Amino acid sequence: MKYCVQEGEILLFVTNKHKTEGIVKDLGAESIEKDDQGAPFLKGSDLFISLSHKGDVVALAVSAKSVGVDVEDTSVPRNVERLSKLFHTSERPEDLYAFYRVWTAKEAEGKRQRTGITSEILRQETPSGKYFDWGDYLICVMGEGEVRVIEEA
Amino acid sequence: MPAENKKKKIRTYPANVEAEKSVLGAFLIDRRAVNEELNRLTEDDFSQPAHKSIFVAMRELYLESHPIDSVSVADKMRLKGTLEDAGDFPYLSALASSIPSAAGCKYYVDILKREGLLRALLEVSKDIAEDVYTSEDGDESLSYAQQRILSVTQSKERSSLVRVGEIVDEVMHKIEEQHANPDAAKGLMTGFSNLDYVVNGLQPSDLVILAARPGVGKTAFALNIATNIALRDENKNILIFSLEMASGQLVQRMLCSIAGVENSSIAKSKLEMEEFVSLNAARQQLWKSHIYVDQTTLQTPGDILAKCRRFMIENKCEIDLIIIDYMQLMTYPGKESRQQEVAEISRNMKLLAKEINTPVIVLSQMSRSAEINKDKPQLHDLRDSGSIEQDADIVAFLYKEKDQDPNDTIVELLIEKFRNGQTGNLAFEWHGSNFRFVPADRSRIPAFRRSAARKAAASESSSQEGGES
Repeated sequence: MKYCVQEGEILLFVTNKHKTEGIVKDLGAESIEKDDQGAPFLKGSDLFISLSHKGDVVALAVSAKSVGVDVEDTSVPRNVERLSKLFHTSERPEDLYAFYRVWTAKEAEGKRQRTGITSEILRQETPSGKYFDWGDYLICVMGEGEVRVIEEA
Repeated sequence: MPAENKKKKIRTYPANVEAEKSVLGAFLIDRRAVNEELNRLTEDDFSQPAHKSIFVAMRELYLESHPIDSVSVADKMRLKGTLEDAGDFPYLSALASSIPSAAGCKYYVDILKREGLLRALLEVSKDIAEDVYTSEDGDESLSYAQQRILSVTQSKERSSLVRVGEIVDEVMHKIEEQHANPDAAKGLMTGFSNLDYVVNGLQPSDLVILAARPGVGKTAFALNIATNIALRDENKNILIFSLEMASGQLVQRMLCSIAGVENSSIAKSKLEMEEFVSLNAARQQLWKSHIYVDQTTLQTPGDILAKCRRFMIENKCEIDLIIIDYMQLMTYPGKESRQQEVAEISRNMKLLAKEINTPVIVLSQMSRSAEINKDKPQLHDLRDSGSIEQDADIVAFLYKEKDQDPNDTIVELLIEKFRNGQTGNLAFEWHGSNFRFVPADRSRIPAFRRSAARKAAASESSSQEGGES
């Protein structure tokens, strides 16, 4: 087993789709499966896992406790004012980067709760997540513990 | 047999909701999946109303060159007022995270295409069943059913994208063919040089009426055209509907004309060795050809149209020429008079040519008045037969005088109507013993006959100018 997850730690792999299967084996698990809600779980391991894709980039978070991750490409221009109306809160991000921080946080929280984004999550103030920039990509991780980033590109 | 095998299969509506989710999810997370697969789909390939509206929003974003992800799709749907009914933002978010990757998107799109096709067939079948329950005309219902099924086939073909590489060879082949044979671009050449020179080949959707009194050689002339075309290009699909003559007789005539063997020699069983050799060579050529014969009598235009449609669907090909021998043997039930019936038949023949997009040659037996008439046949000789003249693109009469000298083998082809060009008359030599027409010089038409033709044409045009209704 190449990777070992310590207590109070979240491993964040930034990788591509071809490497995902190898990482799963390196964590001592058999494969990634989906539960009834379509949420991913590690077969042959008690660890929690969360996955997010954007183009070729895959963010994969693993922890002993529930964890959620989301990755977005911040180089994509958007009408921030209009898009913010999708969030059912008073939050009005000032710029595109702030918008992506809200968005990735809500997505990651939905994954951590294994429900996807619900109306409640849209209504609630966005919980604070841990953010990482990877080129044009912004990654947000939701969960307890320190995040150790491992790049396997 | 195991008990479970005896159970009837449960009938389920053709749809695969999971595959629909996978495709939409792949579009949300991977632009490449969008670029490669979105154009293959239409909203009808999705069974769920929510998925249809999500797809429509995605397609609009794609056409506007905007990113496609859960936020942009949700935004677009909110503007269109379709977001709430489609499960709001949470549903889109769930779609994006429901798949491990966009890999396999093509496979899921294939499933959607298959299920979409089955649903379309089911809908069409319902309409056909509904029509059948209320129908009073079996032929009309059959025609309706075939048209609806064909529309499913055509929309399937329309929606499939073909890589340019797959068709470039075909196009290049056509260009080379045209270069080698400039006639190919002109229309379907009949193989009669004089006729081709005047009409420049038969165009798709042309209705050609070839009329004559009995015994002048209408059938032989049409069969000559069929074999001329088939010998030049064995891949041309020619459909002959023979309402009078049995298919065996037709084929024997074709054999004789190709081989140059006299029919009487076959009838008397007195064939020379050379003639056997020629017949065998002709047999080989006909065997390779794509001439099809239908000898059903008393057909309606609907029967013929249905058979042509079925031929195209079953063989997945075009039809290059249709020959119908002959119009007066067709029926059109439910009309009060024969005149109305023939008018309806002729209108339907033009519709046939248009729908199948191919030239249709319809042979026509001259009306009794023309038999009495000593002059050359003219357009009004067709008027007893309703609207043939109006519907046809070309009307031609094969003509020889009733008391013509048996040694005079010249037969005239009088082109009395030609929508795209000049009318005129052409000469053919008739080799009756082997059912063969050969183009001849116009000078061989006796002078008095030519002057009679001019006189007839002049009287025709003056009567029209005189406001004849």
